[in-house]
Amino acid sequence: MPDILRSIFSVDFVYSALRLTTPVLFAALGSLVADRAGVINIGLEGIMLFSALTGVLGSAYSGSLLVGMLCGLVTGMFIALIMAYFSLQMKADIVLTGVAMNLVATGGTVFILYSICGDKSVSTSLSSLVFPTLEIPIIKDIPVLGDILSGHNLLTYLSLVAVVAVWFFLEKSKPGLRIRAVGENDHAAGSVGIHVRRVRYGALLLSGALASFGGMFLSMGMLTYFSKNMTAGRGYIALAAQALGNGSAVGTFFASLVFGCAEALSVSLQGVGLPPQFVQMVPYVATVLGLVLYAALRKRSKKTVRKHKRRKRGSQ
Amino acid sequence: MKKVLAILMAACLILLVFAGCGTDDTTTDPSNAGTSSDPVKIVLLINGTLGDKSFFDSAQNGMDLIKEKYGDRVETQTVEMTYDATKWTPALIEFSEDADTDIIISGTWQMVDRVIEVAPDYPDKKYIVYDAEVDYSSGDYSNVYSITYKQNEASFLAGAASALVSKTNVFGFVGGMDNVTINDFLVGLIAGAQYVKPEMRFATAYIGNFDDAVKAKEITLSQINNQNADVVYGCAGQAGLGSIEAAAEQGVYALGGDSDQAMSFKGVDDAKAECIITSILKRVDQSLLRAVTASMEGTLQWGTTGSFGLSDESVGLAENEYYEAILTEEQRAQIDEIEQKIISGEIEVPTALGRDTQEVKDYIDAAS
Amino acid sequence: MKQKHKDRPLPTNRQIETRFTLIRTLTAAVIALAGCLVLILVVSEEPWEAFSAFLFGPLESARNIATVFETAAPLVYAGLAVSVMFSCNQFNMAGEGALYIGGLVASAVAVKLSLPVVVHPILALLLGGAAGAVVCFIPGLLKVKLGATEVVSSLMLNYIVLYLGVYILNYFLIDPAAGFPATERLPETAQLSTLIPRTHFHVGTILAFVLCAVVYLYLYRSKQGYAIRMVGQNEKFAKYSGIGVGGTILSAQLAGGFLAGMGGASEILGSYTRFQWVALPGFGFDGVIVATLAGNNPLLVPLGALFLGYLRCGADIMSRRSDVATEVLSIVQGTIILLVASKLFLQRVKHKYIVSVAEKREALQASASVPQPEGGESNA
Repeated sequence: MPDILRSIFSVDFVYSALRLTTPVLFAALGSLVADRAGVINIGLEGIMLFSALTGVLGSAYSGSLLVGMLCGLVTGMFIALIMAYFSLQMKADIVLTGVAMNLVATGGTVFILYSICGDKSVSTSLSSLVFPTLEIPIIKDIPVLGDILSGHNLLTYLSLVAVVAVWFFLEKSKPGLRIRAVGENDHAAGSVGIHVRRVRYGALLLSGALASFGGMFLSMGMLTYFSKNMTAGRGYIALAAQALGNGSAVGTFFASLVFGCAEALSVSLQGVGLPPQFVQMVPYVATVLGLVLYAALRKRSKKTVRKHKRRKRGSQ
Repeated sequence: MKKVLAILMAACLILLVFAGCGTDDTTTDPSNAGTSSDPVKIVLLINGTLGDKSFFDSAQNGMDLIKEKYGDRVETQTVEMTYDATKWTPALIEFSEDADTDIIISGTWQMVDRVIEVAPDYPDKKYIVYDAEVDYSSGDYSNVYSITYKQNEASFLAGAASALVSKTNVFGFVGGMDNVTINDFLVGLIAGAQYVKPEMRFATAYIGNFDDAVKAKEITLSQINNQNADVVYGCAGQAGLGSIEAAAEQGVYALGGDSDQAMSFKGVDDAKAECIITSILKRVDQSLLRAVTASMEGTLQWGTTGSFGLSDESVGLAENEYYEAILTEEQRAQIDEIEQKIISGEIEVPTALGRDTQEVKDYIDAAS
Repeated sequence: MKQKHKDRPLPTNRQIETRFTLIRTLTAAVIALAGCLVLILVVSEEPWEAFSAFLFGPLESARNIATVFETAAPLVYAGLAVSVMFSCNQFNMAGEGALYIGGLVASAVAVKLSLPVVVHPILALLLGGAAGAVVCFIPGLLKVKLGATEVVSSLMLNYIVLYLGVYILNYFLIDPAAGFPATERLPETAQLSTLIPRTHFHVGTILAFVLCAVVYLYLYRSKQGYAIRMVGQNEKFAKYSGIGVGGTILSAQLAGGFLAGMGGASEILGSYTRFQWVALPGFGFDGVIVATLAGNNPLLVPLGALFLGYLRCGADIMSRRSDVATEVLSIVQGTIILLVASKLFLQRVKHKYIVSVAEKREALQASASVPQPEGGESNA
């Protein structure tokens, strides 16, 4: 048991938790933007999977990381666009649209991979590029903090930047205000002249863009190749993280961090003597527990929150 | 408007029907006409999908070898039945009823359960099952030949090789799932490593699926950094590559599995190739080629089991240039010596097959 | 809405609605298949052979037709389960976990108890169903009591159920003699007997289709079913009209879970010789597809399931006979769902048609000297 404590309170644990948080965080931020516009984006899993593949393909065939990133980004946005078109224009149920996209992604990525590489599981035959890791000048020399915070992948830092950016975008910018207005009451927003559908299109596209980075981090950061079904349910965990995040970017960040830690924990708990199946359950149990805890707290403090909101709105 | 639509759709459908049927006839006819010399048709039924980098891919390679050897005398076909078990029996029956089919090859324990249901109904067809054995005492299976592998013998050798190069005496093992097949590899590894170095410890972990390469890598990193493992093995199908990547990044050694993984990385990613000591090989391809060859020559004993291990090179280690670079000549001699002892029966390699889960668990825990 | 005209009565709005749903679904299928054909043309060296195997393979023999039905059976169960849960406007995805646990519990009953022939499978089916009901109940309970989103909690629950199931399989039910994680062979007494030799067309397959009628009666003819649909359509309105919303939601989840669990049990007892699922079987999401195709109507669920079953069998046959991989199928399925779920797909055509019918009605009324009491106007 002390071994486990030592490994949990180690620098590596926190470092690894941050790394495992990154893909979930990107996707959760994507989910947040869509959610604030009043759309549930179930298709995150599929978007991540597709972007993970196209990022690898793009970088391998162009030899340029930038092109690879653009490929992944455009793919993510394109899938979000398809979802937006069917759910907003054709009035398909957004949950079903997401389920459909995820279904297309599981088969579609293998199909594309096989057509291009002749391999049905991994893209190791391609020499694709990876996002670089960064040493942060001053922080890296601080003893413990440096080991935890420095030397991460570029995308990990980008995900942290994205938290701030999404916060600023949603809370302080004009388009963000529109998104929130549409999400809270689309009829009211429509009546004051906001183009509801257009705003939701925008929100979904942004959501796709953010999620695509989560996918690319898996195949071009964590690993250096694409592997079939490599998202392994992280898109769904991201939905849960966003649900826990109380609709704010910062809350989403902390919720994602909780899942990152839960996953890191499920790595550290291996070999404690627990049956492995229970260890593998940890991230999912943590998600449900978090959800329950959050819902219970929210229920208890619903009234106070409402009052608080009213006050806040009054002051603005 | 409705009419127009209906007509349009009907037209579409009819077009599709005719297009389908019309060309169907033209494409199948010549292939039937071409079978005048009547080649032996061999069908490989894969109860999963190709690309597992493991014995399905190896079996496919075996089919290629057969085709290469016999050319026009055989007609080979491979069918991926996917992992949906309800599809396996229908496919098995379909090919058993197909008049052209002569030999049906299929692998794994799951398929044996199905072959023994179907095979007695089609006595004129031949069945080869690999990686599992038919219980010949339970019925008349005179048209079925079984091939089994002593995979634990190869992992015993790999374990010994790992122990020889390990400095920290800790081995990191990442399995796809906590199940018998995976644990059979692990049991062999433990036995082999501790045969050479009794103080070898094993950090064991399981991912929970065969997809999540990210998690495989993360677990392996944790084993390297927190538990001081300096030889790792990801025994998890495609997800296992994550472990090799972690090893290459951290500058420790790794084992490869199923196919010669070092050589598959050579030229593409040399850092990975250089960290792979050796790969545990299960030569499904060679065994299938051997069985079909014997069948073509009429010497195959249908209704029996061929059990293959180190002695006939159906399992073994990949002795490539990296193996030779990492292990000293002396160490390699030591491995060869162990190999001889296994073949002669002097060393008895334990297995996880047929043993109780808890019993195997205790054995594994004792090594941690 | 009686039409007294002898020559081709004009359709009522409801008829138009039904017809268009049908036309929309068919057109969606045709478009998706056309897309699939394009894909096959690109990747295959023998595209026509592949495509005809895909389209007509399932009809080639009685055995293949039976295979379509047996493939459809679990989809029917899953589709019914999802239909009931979605009718209550609950996007509960735990059908997947319910099916899994249903199969596991049924196999445990089969292996661990020795009972006479008929009783054994019935008990296994019922207990499997009960286990499934518990699984689907949990996200419902979290929703009703705490307001936790059921989509997320049910998706996570599926994984928890899976790993729990694998644990139980590995430590309590495993047959050490088997070379992979599986229970012992299910005893003959517990198996659902096969009705057509050399297929898995079994009693459970028939049961699935019978259940559609039962679930229809439950949803559309029983008081509780009415409450479920009311809550699904408008929760607030249902509340004001005195329906206990929480209880209704929970009973819908229980019913759905029971159906899914029973589906898992039937699948294991009829089509398998041992329980051997170590990954989620995927029927939960399939259930969503089927329920969408059927518009949550239990009577249409068999059609949706057969359609999907047909596609899958076709794809299997195609992959057996040609060089096209089965992965193509998931692309086709996704496209079909997208198109079918689109309420406004072909909307313009539908709109034009409704207008033209309305115009005809007006013309008719204008020409008739006495307007009919139940005329077209009230419909329009």
